[in-house]
Amino acid sequence: MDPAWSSVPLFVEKYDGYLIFVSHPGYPVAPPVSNPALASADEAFLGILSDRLDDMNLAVATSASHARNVPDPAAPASNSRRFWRINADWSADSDGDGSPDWAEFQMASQSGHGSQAAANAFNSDTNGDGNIDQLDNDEDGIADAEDADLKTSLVDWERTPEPRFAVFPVARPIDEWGESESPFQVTDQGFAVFPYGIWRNGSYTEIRNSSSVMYCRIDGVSSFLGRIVGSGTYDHDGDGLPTLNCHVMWSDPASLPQPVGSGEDFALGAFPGIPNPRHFVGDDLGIIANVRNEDGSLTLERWILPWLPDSGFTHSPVPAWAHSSINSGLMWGYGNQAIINNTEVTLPSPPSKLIVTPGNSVIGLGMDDGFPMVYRGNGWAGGAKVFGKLAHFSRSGFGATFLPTGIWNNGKTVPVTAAAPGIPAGWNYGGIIDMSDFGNVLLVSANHNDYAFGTPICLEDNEPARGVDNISIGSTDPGEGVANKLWVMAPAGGTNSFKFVTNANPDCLLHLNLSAASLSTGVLSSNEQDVEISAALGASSQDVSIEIKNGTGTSLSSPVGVKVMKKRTVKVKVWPIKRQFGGQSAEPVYVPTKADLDGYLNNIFKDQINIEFNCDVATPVAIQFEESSPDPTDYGGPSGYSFPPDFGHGELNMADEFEGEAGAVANQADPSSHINIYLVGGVNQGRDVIWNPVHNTPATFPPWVGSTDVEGRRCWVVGGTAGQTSGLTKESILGTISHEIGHVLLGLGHPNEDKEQARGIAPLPGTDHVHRLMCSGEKRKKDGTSKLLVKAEWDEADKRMSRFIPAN
Amino acid sequence: MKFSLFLILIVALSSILRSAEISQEEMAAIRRDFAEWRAVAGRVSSNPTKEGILQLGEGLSKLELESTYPVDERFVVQEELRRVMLSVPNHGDVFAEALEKAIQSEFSHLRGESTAPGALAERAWLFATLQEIPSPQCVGLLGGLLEDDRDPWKDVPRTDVGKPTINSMRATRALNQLGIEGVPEISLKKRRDREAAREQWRLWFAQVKAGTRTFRFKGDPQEYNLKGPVNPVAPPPPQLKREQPFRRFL
Repeated sequence: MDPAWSSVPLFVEKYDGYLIFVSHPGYPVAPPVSNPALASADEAFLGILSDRLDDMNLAVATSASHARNVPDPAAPASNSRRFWRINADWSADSDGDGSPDWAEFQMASQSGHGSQAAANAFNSDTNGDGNIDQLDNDEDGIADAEDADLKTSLVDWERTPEPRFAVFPVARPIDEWGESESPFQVTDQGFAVFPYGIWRNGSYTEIRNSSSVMYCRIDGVSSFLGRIVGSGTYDHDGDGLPTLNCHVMWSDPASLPQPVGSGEDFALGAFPGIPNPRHFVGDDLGIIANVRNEDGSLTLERWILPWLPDSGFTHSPVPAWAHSSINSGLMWGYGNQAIINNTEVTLPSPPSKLIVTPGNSVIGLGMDDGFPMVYRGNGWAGGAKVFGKLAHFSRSGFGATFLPTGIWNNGKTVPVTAAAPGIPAGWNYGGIIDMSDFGNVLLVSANHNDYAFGTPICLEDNEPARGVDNISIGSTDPGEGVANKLWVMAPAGGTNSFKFVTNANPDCLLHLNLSAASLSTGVLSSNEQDVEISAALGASSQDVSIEIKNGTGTSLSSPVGVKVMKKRTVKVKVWPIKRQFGGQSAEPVYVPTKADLDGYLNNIFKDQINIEFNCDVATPVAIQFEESSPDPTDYGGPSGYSFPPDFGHGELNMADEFEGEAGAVANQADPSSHINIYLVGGVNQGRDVIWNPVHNTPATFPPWVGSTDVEGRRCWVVGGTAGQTSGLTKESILGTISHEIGHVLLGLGHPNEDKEQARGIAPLPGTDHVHRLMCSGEKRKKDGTSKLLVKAEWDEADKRMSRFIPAN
Repeated sequence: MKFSLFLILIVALSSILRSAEISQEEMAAIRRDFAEWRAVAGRVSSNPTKEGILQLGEGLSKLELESTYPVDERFVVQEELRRVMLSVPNHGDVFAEALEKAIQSEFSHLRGESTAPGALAERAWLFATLQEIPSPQCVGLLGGLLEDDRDPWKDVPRTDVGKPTINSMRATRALNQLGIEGVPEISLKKRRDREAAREQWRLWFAQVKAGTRTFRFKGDPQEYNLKGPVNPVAPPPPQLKREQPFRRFL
């Protein structure tokens, strides 16, 4: 066995607060001659281990009996089937370093892997330098914590925001034969392109002929400038008889067509036209088009099209490969030839489209028997397993799949109805016909009768944890707390700022309408737009959606929800406790002032759940709470038991129901405060103590620095000893206080707990846990950035506060 | 007599001082809440729906909190709500159903299923309500729950938050708070005392259930069994508002 496997536990289970790992050491271990002298905590642990051996054997036996290497019993009948359901938590990240356990085991077992030395699923700082390990499972140069897909180096960019789509019905015009026309392209400008017209902002504009250019038809619209390109017939000699087929451009759907051509000859061959609108890319120099020749062959040409509407055109057909003036990052080509970053490349097979990824690699769609391939400058690799049936991709980092129809983003595909919450389920069975460079989509319904224009919407906080929840949609598994839309909090009596990131532009305006709250702008007209949201002072808590309009059309989906949060004031009383012993007393390393507390807590909670804190700090009080001879019955033991003389010294012991030493320090409470907090000096940690009835000894749980009685709205926070080094600081103490207050408002659980049942109301597997306020202490960011509350937590806090704060 | 006057003076003074700490805005909110609770009581009185009864219960427990309503008037409003609750037949059934739903929500949550906001706190809130309703129905409900040791949270590891308590212990606390005459008071601070108190209440309830024992609430001369009043006493009407000493003796 590779020695690296010695760190991989063969059996892991949590019993009575201890996480027990059984590992194969990978080398012989001589049994001890005698048991060493054990401290009380070790004795307690040994007792629990001994008690639980039967349970462990049973668990192993049960596991083995279900394992596939156990010979199956004989089938009861021919053609019998057996099924297993395996529930694997692929998101488990025991050390909270952003690299899931499975990846750490994989890296640890892989000789020569760049992250092998640091791969330890249970240690986030293997070299002890105080920094979280930056592991890179797929060795693509992106740390796992930031990687859009850490399973493959083909996805070599950082996680991109997950969008939700506003979807607008696209009415189909009727052609001269009475048939409904169908759109075939969508652009970043918000155009849905039909053969004889453009739909935009909810209405359709038919293209025009002019006195000299007639019988026009649209072939496509260039990607960036929105130039409409097509073909028509040109009256080149002005005799009133159009006779020459030619390329045509429109600067705008409502403008007159302008003929364009090759040199002095505007004529096209017998088979004019640009065969596939996806094959041309526009930049500020012109248009690149594929031209079908008379003999049916295709030529790739780049057309320089200075826009000289009154004096005619200067057209310079240029051999496709001769040009190096194309902007870096653009690529174009046809067949199996392309230019990528100014370099001529021969492709393994013709793509239907080439797209630059956020990592500056190139995805060629449809190259591998319908699956995409990825070019990273050193060759092409198949992406079938990574992207599935990816039909389209955008420079924003997401794409569209077919069979089934969905949106791929950050290694995960969601159905259309999830990406565009609220649209009828039938759209799942239709398709995404086209996607523009930055992610607008053209949808068709299952019966191919209805078409829709979809545009991606993302929300961002201007700084972290300011009332936007854009992560609850990103859970890798369904379950509690998973949101179907983006959420922003509208504070009653206040204002929150956030950012809309969309494809809105002057040609594609998105109008916003909101009841129960108000937005600082009613229209989005640019890619990134700062918006303020507010609600009336007396507004009640409620959930509403932002209605989004594009021209006259109203979105079929509701991508953005708004939670109006009632304004509340929470009164907190902090009791600094000085542990008194031997005529001395020990103060906490830091006693917060009212200003410190109000500032710190408001910074976390105000913009997220509209709470204003009104804290009061009592005068430090000396209490002799250390039990010199604890009453064993407090801990569930027999009255005759004598505790070891040093039992729990320097710790704050807590018996069940928040009694013991913890109960003693909490004797004083301010009934007029909503939350009482005991900041206990003279101790560096707290411990819950229970009685082990088998060994008849007290057993302690892992230490804590904060503990909360949710129902009693009381918190204990370990304060250390002034003048002594304990690792406790002003920042850590304020962080613990805010986390424990979080428990009062949200109840039990941390999203990152290894045991599923202890993950609380919003576990959201596969999402960022370490920046959540409710991330457990050892994994929370020490720099104070762990403060995010998500929508399910807003709702929970709202409900719980309604039980102890006036409703009106 | 002098001592009593002194006490009244102290209470009045403390009320004035406390009122001075409450802003006008807070006071207005409290008044609006009181009006709303009275409106709830009015609606339940004329049409006791399940939702109305639960809402009335919410008011009863919320009005108990000084941190929420730091004015003594809350006791007056609470008493009005209590009278309405006691007049509603079968209110105990509504709370029994709600309690079962609440504990099932906890089991659901621990199976990974979605639960409504606040569902995991609901059981605690319901017990906080039951301890404010001195009725034979609630005594019957709480007595039955003394045997309910189901623990949804049994296998959940201990973290930095106390796990919700089992119903039998919650029922012990609630019965302790309910102000039942003739049952020795046991402090619930110590673990052994809590277990002793539960045992005492179990014995007491076994007798009540068997019909060999009746009970009275403090301040109310009426004897009850689980079906209701026993040999109804003549007026004066029951003084259901419990005396302050029985509000808290944890």
